[in-house]
Amino acid sequence: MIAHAADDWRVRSTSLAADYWFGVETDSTSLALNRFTVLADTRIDMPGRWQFDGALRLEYADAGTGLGSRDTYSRLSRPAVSGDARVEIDRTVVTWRRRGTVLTLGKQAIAWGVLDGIQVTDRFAATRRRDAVFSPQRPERLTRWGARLKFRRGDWRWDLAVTPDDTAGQFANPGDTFFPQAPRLRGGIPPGAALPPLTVRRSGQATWGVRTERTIGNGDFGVVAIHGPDTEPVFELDGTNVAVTYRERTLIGATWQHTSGERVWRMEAAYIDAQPVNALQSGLPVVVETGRWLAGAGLDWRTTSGIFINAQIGADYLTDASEALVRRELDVLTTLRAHKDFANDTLRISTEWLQSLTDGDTIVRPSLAWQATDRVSVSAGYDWIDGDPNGLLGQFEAASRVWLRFTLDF
Amino acid sequence: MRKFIMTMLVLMSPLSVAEMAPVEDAMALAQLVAERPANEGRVGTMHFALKNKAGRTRHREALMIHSEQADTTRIAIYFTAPGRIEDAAFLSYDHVQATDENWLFLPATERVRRLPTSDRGDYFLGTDLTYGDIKDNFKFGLDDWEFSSGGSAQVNGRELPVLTGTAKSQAIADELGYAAFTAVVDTETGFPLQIDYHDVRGKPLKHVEVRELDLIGGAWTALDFVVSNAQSGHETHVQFSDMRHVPDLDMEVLAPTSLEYGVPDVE
Repeated sequence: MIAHAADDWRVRSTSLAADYWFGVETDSTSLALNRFTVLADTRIDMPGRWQFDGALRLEYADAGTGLGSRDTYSRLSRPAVSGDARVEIDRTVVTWRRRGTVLTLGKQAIAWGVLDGIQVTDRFAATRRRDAVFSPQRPERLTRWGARLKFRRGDWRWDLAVTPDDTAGQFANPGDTFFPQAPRLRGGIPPGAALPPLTVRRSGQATWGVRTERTIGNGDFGVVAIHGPDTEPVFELDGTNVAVTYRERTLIGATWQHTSGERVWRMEAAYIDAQPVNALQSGLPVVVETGRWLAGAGLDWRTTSGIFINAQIGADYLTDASEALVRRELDVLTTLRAHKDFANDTLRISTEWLQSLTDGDTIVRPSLAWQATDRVSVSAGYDWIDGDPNGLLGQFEAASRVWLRFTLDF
Repeated sequence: MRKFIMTMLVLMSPLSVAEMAPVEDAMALAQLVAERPANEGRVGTMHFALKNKAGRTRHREALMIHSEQADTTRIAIYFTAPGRIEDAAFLSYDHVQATDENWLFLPATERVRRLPTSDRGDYFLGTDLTYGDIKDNFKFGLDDWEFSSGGSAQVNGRELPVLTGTAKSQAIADELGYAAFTAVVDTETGFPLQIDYHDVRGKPLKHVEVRELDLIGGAWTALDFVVSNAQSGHETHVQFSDMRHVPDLDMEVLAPTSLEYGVPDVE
């Protein structure tokens, strides 16, 4: 029987990790990335069936890839700042658990969906995009204040979540390496053109979501609904400024994943009835609403030679597209990851290939990771970007880089 | 009943182990091992020490929950140390009639992922144990091996019979990662105390030495064993502490959705 019925307070675990990550742009040999992060985590058993879990993130960065926006955070979630250093609450939750029922209150991330890095139904959580697609995990979800209840009724597993926290995501600051350059991500303003002053206008609205899932044979089928501020902004004129706004939208979707021996198949589809998107009217950004279909499929495959392969394709289609829209009617993105472990899993060679079939953009990311000891790991890689400066991936073509990363666990 | 008869045949044989009729006794011994009782639920803290050829040792600690029922063997491993992998959790369902299923939870991804099923010959989480070793729990599948008697050997001052096995086909050898084995079997427990495996090319691969056994809920369970890889020079030392039988194990701790909540307390 699961028994989280501790009689007293007890520190269950603590951890401290330091991470240093730096990179050099291959085009200019200038320092592209210089970031130092300390993560502290503690977990405490509380009387009854409660448990506390808290994590704090301290960061410092001073090169082209900075620490990202702060004004997209709600006041309660916003990192404290001092020069180039920040302190952010990564997680603060109390959890109550009894058999199949789990209640989680506090600052937490909600991770939905079954694909990896292609967000179809995984649109409850706000995400950190200061590194564009080059973060170690993708998507890198932000935690927000809220409540989550998971329980089981018959064969169905239910997951209800609400967050009044309107933190909208995190982007690179203007001037930073991964600040959006493609017109589609800046209200139609072309790359190189001076941006008017930007202001962030969060919605002030809560996000709520419900997800239910059941196992069928060797697979899981799920249905999801999310209502709340969009995780993607639109640009609106606000006097002489441009306001980055997060309008509400409703998403309904379904997921399916199935194990078939050494293969796992994954599929997701979602529909947004009134998706706010930018269009240009007399050269100025306006907001229109359109239907939006999102769909994706993926395959995980472990070959007989021990290579793990993850292949995915995702499509994003606007139903009421017009020529005035600042983005394409259809985006199709493919990802291919492969890795193989050596030396009793202490050495991993991996590569990731992202391809926009509609823009023709390509990113290739080979890397090598070595777990030197229980406490020390070292990894190195190359992020090669090629494509259209107006494209979804190609906008960062000048940011191709080599990088090195050290992680120390205390 | 069949298992009982086989056990009694081995234990009560008036012949010394060296005098046993080779083929029949090898089969009886193989059945003694294969049909060794399993308990339906057990829980223990697993301590791994992974030593490489240079002598550098890495340590892992995890809560292991094991349930063996008629149609499915379920194993959950919740890592507790070192901090780098704390809260990572792995779950496997080994179905007799259906495709096996694996899940993994990594805190960084914040989701429980279905994983492609590993081959039985794939190595388990950086150890020298294969997934097949973990699932087979020191047993040799009667459908996988041609058994023969290997005479006897002295272990801890006791003369014990030696069981040898050859994979019935190349496909089975490829699946298991082993072409042959030689095992010294303790006839009192039905447990192999030493096993030497040969790889699919017939070269010496691994030596397994069981150092401590205990009767947990009516089933003999290895609490301390070492697996040495002769080819890589790597060694895995596994010790269990707080191993106990949990007859009414709540299957919720072996549900994929439980992985993301960290180590459960199990009563």
